[in-house]
Amino acid sequence: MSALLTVTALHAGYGTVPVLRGVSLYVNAGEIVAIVGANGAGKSTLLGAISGLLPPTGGTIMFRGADVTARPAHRGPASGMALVPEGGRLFPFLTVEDNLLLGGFTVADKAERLRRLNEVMETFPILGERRFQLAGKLSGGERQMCAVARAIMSRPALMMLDEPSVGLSPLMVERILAAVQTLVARIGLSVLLVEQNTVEALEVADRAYVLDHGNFVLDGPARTLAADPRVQQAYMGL
Amino acid sequence: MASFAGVLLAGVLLGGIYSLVAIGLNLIFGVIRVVNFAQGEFVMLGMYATVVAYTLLHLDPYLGMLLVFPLLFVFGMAVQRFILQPLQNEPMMQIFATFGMLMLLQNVVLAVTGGTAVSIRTPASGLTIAVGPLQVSVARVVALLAVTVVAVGLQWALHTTMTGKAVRAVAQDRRAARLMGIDVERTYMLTFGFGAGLAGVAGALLTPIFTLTPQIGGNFILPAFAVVVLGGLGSVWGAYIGGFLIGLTEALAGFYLDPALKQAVWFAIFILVLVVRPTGLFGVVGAEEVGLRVQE
Repeated sequence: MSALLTVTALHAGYGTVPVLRGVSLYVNAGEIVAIVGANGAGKSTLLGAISGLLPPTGGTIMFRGADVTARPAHRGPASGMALVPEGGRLFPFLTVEDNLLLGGFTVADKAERLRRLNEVMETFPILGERRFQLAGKLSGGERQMCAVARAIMSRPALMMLDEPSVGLSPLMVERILAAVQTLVARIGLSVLLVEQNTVEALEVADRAYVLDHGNFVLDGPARTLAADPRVQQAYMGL
Repeated sequence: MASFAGVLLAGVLLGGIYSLVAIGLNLIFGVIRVVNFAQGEFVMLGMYATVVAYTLLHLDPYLGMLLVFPLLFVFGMAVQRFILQPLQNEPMMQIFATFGMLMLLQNVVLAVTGGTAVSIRTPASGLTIAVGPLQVSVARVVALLAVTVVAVGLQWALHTTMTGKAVRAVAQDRRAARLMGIDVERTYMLTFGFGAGLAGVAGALLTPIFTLTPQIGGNFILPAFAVVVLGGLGSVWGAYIGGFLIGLTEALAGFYLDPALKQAVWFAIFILVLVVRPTGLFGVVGAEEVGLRVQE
C-alpha cells in the first residue's frame, strides 16, 4: 500500500536562505507521525512547504497519489489536507462558531456544514459553551482546541499540527494530544505532528523523525527513539 | 430655531453623501489594507458613466446605477489584479499606486472632456419636498436612503453569509484564511471590485445633485478620509455614522463660523481623533494591529 503522504528530497527556505536541505518522509493512513527537533531546525518550514504556504525550492510532495508540490495553500482543504498553525491562528474578531464554520469553507452544502459544526461541538463541549464568544477571548487551551476543531471541519485525511503545545500547561498539552489521539481512532485521521516538546510528542506518535539543521538525523518507531540515548540527551533533557 | 433645524437637516443630508463614498473606501481599507486615494476618482467615473448612460441611452441615473455598478466593479477588480496585486508585498507602493491612479484618471478625463463642467437635469434634480417649514431636495433624500440600505445590507452580508465571513477572515489573518481554503487573491479582487462598484453607485446618486467636473473626486475623498478616521477604520457602521458627524460638522461650521473654515474644522477633528482615539469611534480596539501584523 502506498503512503498517504510522501515527501521526497524536499528543499525549502526563505529568500536565499535554505532551511530544509532535502528531507524525505512518509505518513501512512491512520498513523501519527511526529517531527521533533530544536527551535530553528526547520520544523515549521516543513509544514509550510507541505501545506503550500511556502513553495518548495526542490523535491516533490505526493498526497493521495497526486503531485501537490506546487499547489497553492487554499487548495489544501478540498484535497483532504489541513494545517493547524502554531498558536492556532484563530480569527480573533470572529465568534468561535464562525471560526469553525470557516473550517468548513470548502464544504458547499450548508446543511452538511452545520451538521459537522454540531459534531465538533459535541466532541469539544467547551466550544459549544463558547460558541458565540469572540475567538480572541478564549484561553490558550481553548484556542488550541478550537483550532483543531476548525481543521476537523473539512474532514481532512491528514491533519498537520504545528507546535500545539507552545504556551500551554503540561496538563493542557496532554488533553489536546489525547483529543487528537481520540480523533485519529474515531475518524481514521492521519496526523503529522511537529513538536518541540519531544517527550509528549514521542508518547503519542507511532513513528518520528528527528530534524536537525534542515536534515533528518534519526527516524524510526517513536518508542525506539524515546529509548535512544542520543535522543534522550539532546531533546528530552534526560 | 427654524434655521438651526435647517442646518442640522442640511448636515445630515450632506453626511449621507459622505457616508456613501466612505463605506467603499473603508471596505477596501478594512480588508485589503490599502488606502485607496483614487476612490473619489472612482465616484467621478461613476458620475461620467451615469451622464453617458443618460445622454446616449436616456437612462435615468437611478436606473443607470444598474449599469454603473457592474462597470466599476469590473474596473475595480482589474485595478486590484493588475496594479495592486503585483505590489502586494510593498504596502507603501500600493498607496503610491492609488495616488498615481488618482492623477491618471483625473487627467485622462480632463483631456477627454476638455475640462468643461457638465450637469444633467433629471426628474429628481429640482424636486423638493416640504418638511415643516423646510424644503428638502429629493435627490439628497434618495442618497440618504440608499446609503442606509447599503450600510445595512453590507453589514448583514459580512456577518451572515459565508462569503462575508470569508472576507472578514481574510481581513483578520490572510495566512490562516488560505488554510481554510479561501482564495485570498480572489477575495481581494471581489472586495476591491465591490468597493469600486459602491463608488460608482455613489456617483450615480450624486449626478442629479452636483455639477460634474473631472476634479470633483477631491470634494468627496477628503471628507471621506475624515469620516473613516472618525468612524473607525474597517467598520461599516463607523463609516455610516462618521459621515453624518462630518456632514453635521461641516454644516454647523459653515453656518456659525465661516464656510471657508469647514475643511479646517474637519481636519482639526481628524487629527484630534487620531491622537486621542486612533481606533475611531466604532473601530475595534486592536483591529489595526491585526492589519499591520506581518502576515506572510
